[in-house]
Amino acid sequence: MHKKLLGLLLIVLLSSTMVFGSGFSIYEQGAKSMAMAGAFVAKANDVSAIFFNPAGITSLKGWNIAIGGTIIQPQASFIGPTIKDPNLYNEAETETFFPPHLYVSYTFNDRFSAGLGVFVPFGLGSNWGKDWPGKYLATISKVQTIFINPVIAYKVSDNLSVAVGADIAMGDVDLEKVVNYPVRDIDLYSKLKASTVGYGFNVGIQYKPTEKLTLGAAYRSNVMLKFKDGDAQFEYPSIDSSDPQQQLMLAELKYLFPNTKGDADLELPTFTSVGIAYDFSDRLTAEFNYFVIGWSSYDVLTVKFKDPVGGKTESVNERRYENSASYRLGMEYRVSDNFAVRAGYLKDNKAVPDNRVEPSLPEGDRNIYNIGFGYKWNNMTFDFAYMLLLQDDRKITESVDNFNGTYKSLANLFGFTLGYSL
Amino acid sequence: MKILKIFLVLILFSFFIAGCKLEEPSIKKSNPVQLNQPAQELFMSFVALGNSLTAGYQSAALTAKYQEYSFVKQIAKQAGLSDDQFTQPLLGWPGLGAYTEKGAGILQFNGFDESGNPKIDPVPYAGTGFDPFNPFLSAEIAGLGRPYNNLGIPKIVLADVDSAISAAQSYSGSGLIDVVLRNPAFGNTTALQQALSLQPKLVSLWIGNNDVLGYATSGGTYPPAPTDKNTFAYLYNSLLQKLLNAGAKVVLANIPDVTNVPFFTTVPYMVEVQGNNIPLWIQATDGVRQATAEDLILLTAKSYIGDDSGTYGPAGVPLGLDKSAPLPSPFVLDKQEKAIARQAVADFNAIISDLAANSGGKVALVDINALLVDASDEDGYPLAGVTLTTKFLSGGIFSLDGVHPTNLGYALIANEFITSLNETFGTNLPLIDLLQFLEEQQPLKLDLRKLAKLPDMLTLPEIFGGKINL
Repeated sequence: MHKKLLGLLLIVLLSSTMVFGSGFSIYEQGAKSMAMAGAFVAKANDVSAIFFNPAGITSLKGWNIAIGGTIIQPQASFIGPTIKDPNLYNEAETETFFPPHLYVSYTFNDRFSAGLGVFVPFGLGSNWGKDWPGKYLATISKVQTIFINPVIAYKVSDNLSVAVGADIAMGDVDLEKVVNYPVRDIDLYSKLKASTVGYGFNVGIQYKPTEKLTLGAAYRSNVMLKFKDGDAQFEYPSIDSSDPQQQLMLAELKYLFPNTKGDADLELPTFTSVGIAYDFSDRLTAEFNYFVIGWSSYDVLTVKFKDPVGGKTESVNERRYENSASYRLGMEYRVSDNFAVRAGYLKDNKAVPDNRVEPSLPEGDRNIYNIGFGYKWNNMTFDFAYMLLLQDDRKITESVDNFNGTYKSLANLFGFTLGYSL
Repeated sequence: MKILKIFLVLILFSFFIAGCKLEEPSIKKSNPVQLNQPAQELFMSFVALGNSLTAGYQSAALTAKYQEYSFVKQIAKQAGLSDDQFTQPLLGWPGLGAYTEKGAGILQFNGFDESGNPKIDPVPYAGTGFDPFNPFLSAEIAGLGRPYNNLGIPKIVLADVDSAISAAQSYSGSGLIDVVLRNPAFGNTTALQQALSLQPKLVSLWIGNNDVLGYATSGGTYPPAPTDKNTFAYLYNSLLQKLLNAGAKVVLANIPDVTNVPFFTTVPYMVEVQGNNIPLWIQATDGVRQATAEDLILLTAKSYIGDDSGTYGPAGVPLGLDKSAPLPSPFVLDKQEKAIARQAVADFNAIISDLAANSGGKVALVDINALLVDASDEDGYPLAGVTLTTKFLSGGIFSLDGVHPTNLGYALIANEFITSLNETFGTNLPLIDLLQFLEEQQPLKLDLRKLAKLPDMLTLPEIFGGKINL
């Protein structure tokens, strides 16, 4: 049983890859918090606190383990581009993503607790097919980061806890698109693939001024992912090998677009959250969070090639993302000692400015609705959450790429977490 | 455990019912455009006057393969006009072009040489069956019983439109006047007279470029000055009034600044000599001196820099690399000459936009200068992930002569005209789908299911001498 579970987890970790959040972050890292719209930084009262606010693990006893994941089913479409046909409907392939999470914590004594979390807080995936009007911008894009996050937490006093942790982030990018060789107007298919490891830290604080009121704040640092020696590969058009003219063209392409290596730096943004939770009764708790992702770190993506590609040693993509804030409101009502229902709403704001939106990341402002429940069975807990992500239609008229049109998107997310304590 | 099972069933069930779907629109693409009344009226008779840019000249020649992409032909196509409704003086392959020592046919890009430099040569007449004295594509085209709708004539200046009847009787001396106007068969009529005889509803008039380009492309030598601006204003106004008096609506385009045209911006003013960058020696207006970033070295100079044959300077001294062998004046638009050319463009464009503005809505104006200014900056002209620029060879907009656009460049221009027509005259011509255009022009198609079998790559770099200079 355990072996099977471990096997499953490994498969999930290796194959997981993710979609958009605001920018490409994923805050759905535990079904309990997810059902409450992620408003959890103050309460942080299960082991997923390692992600949301590690100071929260001081309230746990003994060993706590949780494993789960979020099934994410995004849908995206684009109407345009206006330079081709303002009514042209393009639909991205519907894909299912499954970022998993795993948490373990142990409380040593009245003061000290330690924990370890594994989760995927950043990712994106979009697949528009290889032949569509936006193919020179993006066809298939995948970015994922797996974080391993050991933390230690300390209870300063009965109503104050603090925590600190380290982030070991493993990043993978896989970006595909079509490029055009302008001298002869020939298309090639380009694939960039790279992975690396980066490091960061997180801190959290939790304070209970009164029995009913809890305040919390958490911060997760930037992580610099320095991709080295990534693969830049090209696929070439097929030629009539008996035609010397075409052979020459292919030789030229092969020379100008060699399969080579590339380096790029990607700085992942900070997470900052503050929250307030209040117990209205023994049964009802509500929490409000203000959460900011420091996306302004993602300004320019520069890929440096070992051999010149298309005559250039560098490809510079301006991103100019902006910090993105969300407002999260969640509630839990404990129907009985072992059953709770939850609901939440969050307003998520875009990170990509209007003129920089492009199809690899069709994001925008969102209204997100959540419901879920939790069930307790002796030492086991099971939490489930459903999230409906409704993105405002985003009409782009001043795209720097001259790729104007309307992005539409929504997503269904299903989260579940199985917990065990002893 | 029973309750867990119930939950599990509920969860699985919710996957099917709760999954909200993105709504598909009822219209998934636009229907073909039905031309509206204003468009139908204007395109009942559409005539083009102008120079090489109107004729569809490209890569230093006029030939049917590229005349099919003249911007006026592309506009006519968007307006649904057939080849018979919009006729052009189509010429055979490899066309009539600039005479060079290697021939007068169209320039062709033949890959890169041993030093990694592009090989660009005219297509020789030998073996093509082309007769420069009867250059037409077919007897039918040669013998068309009425003037061509496209009366654009390469090399002509503004004054020629209303006066030239032959190469011999013209200001520019353009040999193509005889080909396009076919006098004396057409009663020794001018381009303007032939245009008016077609009773045009819409005239495209893009003229005046050669009134400054002749000066600029000859390095300020022949003619020794751009057309005088007062003369230009007088001629332009009288030409425009004659068209308007005949009841035509007119669409004008202004003149691109020379500093955005690759003919003037491709060859650097410094050359690398033993690892050092040395400014070229040039014959400038203010005497023999070393070039600065302010001087423009013309594209024509490219193959002569370093020449030590003695044809252009003392034998044994590489041209441009020594004070005793400066680049001759016709290869250089020096700082002063550049200022004169730019001033002329500014003056001419002010005249053109004034006339358009005071026409009472009968004249549409196309700002081609602005298009090229935009395309010449770092971001170029973005096209859904493809970036077009005004760079020579790799920019996608200019053809191999560095002055005239490519098919795609002409499509960009056609779209600017269409936008202006639609805005000014209320027509509803559809824009050219540039992405599809890009795709249709490709000599090799990328088929992702079938990838290229590559020849032995070990020998490849030798083909280009280990480098390609883009």
